[in-house]
Amino acid sequence: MSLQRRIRRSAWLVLAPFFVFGLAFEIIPVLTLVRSSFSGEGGWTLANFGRAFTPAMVNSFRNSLQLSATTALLGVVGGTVVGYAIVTARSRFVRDALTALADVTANFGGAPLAFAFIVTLGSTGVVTLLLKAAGVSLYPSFRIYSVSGLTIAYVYFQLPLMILLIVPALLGLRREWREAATNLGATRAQYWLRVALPILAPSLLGSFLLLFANAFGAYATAWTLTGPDVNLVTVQIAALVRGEVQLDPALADALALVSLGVMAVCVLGYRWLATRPWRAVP
Amino acid sequence: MAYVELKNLNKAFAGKPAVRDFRLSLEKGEFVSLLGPSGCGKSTTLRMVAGFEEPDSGEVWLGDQNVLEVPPHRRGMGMVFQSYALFPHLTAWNNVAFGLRIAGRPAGEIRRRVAELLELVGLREAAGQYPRQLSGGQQQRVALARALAVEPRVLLLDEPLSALDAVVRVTLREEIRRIQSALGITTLYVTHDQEEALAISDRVVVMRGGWVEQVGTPEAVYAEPATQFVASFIGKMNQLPGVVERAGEGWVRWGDRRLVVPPAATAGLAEGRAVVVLVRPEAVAVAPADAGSAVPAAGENRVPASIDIVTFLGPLTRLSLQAGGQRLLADLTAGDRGRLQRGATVQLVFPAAACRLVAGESAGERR
Repeated sequence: MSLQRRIRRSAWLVLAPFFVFGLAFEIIPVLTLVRSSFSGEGGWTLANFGRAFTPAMVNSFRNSLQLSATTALLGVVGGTVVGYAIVTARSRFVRDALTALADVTANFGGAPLAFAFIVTLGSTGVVTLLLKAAGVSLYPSFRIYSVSGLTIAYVYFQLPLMILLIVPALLGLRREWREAATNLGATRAQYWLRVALPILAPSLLGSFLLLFANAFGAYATAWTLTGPDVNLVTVQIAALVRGEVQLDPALADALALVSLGVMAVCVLGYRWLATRPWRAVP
Repeated sequence: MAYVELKNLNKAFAGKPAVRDFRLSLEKGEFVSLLGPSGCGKSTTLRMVAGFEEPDSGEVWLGDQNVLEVPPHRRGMGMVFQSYALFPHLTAWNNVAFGLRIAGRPAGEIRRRVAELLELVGLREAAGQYPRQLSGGQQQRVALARALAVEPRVLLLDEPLSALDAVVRVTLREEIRRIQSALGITTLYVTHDQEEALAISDRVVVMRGGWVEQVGTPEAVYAEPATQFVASFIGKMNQLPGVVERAGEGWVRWGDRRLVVPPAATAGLAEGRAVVVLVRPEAVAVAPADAGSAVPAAGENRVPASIDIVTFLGPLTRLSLQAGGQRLLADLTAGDRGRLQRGATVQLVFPAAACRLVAGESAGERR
């Protein structure tokens, strides 16, 4: 066996754990999901998908889509502004500290995040009580256990995630582009509208899609914070699997497959944007 | 009145001077190059003219207007950057049209002007391509067309060819000169490549450490370098450090030998004054060691030397020789090469008229 062939074989061996992991936790679950969602008592069927589009389920999709779009948009706008402030900060310490903070908070989600919001903005939360003492009553006009509360909680991890995604793109904006635009007569606003934002557009859109997918798939934060009060797809799937109201794994799988389709559209959209010929920055 | 006048420009970064007392006048249609090694202040000077850097002191006059208070986007300067700085999301056509659209020119005029400029730089076919689909040379042509589109009063080029390979660089520099001549646009060009500067400029400004060392035509800068630095930076130069022996006769003591230079060069210099005799390699002839009389002819220098390296350079052969304890160069045309070989002992012969004298400059000494 030639040396080259041996090297190639050992390279495959090194990758073997990855393939085993991918097979066990990605491929097989998806195949099981597909099989289960198209299965019924009499064999193959589309009935599960028929039940996935009842008014209650459609409403859960609508809520999930709205919540994901809103928090992704807020994350993109807020994250870009904060990201720009970070990359233009004069102090390296401030830059590094804010980036590290974004790194930590982007990964802070699920039940702990929900609990943090309950103890701060819940009906007896610290901030709620402090505001009340200052004469500002959040409740009952605002409730952390509602869609608007959920939006705030989601933005908590969406915004730092956006910062992490957009900072490399903002750093990729070259000084010469601004100078060239200025030299050609553009004002600061014209530079942003005609040069910087169009250059950043693939990154902004791609990040929006990733944030959208991130929010669409989130479950623990929503369940811990609002329980069944807010009707989201992930909450519906969990309820159907756990059998709290009714046990219907096949319907849960159908809902999960539709969700998977939404995620796939986001990821493919992101990939498409990443390969545009005019894409200049990461 | 000069078309562009830079008066006593000074600029320092973090207390370290980058440009010092820079003065220069450009006539309309003139092509002037700022030439010098990295960090000599040439790009900073250009950026002060463009308005991207604010001088600590000094003035930038365009005609009868001091433009220091004019924001960069209203100065009417067209700039070409080293890294091209093309907008990656726009095609070549839209890059060239950018400034015209900002200026709110009518669509018909934009179409005509962009087509004209892409034709001028030979890129009509590439109009629909994005920057990353173009070669480096093509990108720089688009950048040039883009800078020219807005009909700037002055064209500024900041090392526009340094990112390109040698062949493209030569072709493009000729293109730049052709276009500049055709349009008659006043041009300030920054480069660290002395060959490039000499080839395309009307005048060259040699800079070092923020100071201007010499301003002159390429011929003058090459033939009559004002300082030892200019002599060493522009082309190859033999530098023979010595002291004035007899000013009236044009004698200079170089080690244990006497060199003869034009008496006018030593006139007024005190005997014993440290000087450097400069001789271009092409002015040095090589004669057999035993040739000629022991006493050199009047106005001629003869120096015994041994050949170290013989380098074939196409139209000429360069000899590297040891003479008087230092390395000297002699460039011979193919016919003069004869049977010169490494290790041979020869005489270097160069006339006094080919010698130029500059003040000796000790290490680190500057003004």
